[in-house]
Amino acid sequence: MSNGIELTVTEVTRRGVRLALSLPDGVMVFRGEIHDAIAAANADAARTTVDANDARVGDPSDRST
Amino acid sequence: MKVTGTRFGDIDFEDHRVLTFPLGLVGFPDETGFILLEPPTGRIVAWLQSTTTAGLAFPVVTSDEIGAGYPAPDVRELARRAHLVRSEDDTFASLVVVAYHPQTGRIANLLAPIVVNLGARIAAQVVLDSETYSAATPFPEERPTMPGAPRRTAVTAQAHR
Repeated sequence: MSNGIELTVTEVTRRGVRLALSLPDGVMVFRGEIHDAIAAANADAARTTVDANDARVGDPSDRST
Repeated sequence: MKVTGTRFGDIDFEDHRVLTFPLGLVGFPDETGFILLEPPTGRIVAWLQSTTTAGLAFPVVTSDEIGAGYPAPDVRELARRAHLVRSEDDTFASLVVVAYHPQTGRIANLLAPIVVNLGARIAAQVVLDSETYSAATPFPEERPTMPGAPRRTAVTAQAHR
């Protein structure tokens, strides 16, 4: 698979197939619906505007690094 | 370096201020560079501004705003799991992405906090137990603004050893 991900079939029986997943450091695996919920939350956050927060996050002139 | 954000205009920053997310954020895998714009005194919402996409910024709060015991496991363990530990002396912070909905008010994504290695300036969005945490947890309104808020400075999120 791409990005250094390896999927190996370790066992095949009449009941099913056992798979082994090898991942690069830091890569996590979670269910699709969890991914979708988090991606949706991130997208909601990205759509949040300063105005939507009623300017409570401060005036843009306050922001410098 | 400079980024011209659509929310905050021109933001000058030094290279060492950039937080690198090697894997991006969930749903935003190509966004690997952010700077943290801290809130003025008395306010709690900071912003993670993309260094490459002007219109992309995420409002965040430190996990201290969520309450004692969050996140679980603790931030160092989460950093270890996300392969963010570079030395035993590393310090870490965790941030929670928040959002605002006109109908529901502010919500916090407690399911997937952001863990930051403050020294190495590397970060990752990690996933906690979905039976315990939600990606859309109601979050109290922000505290009132304090007068005389100073200009933003460097990342000073609560550090955890």
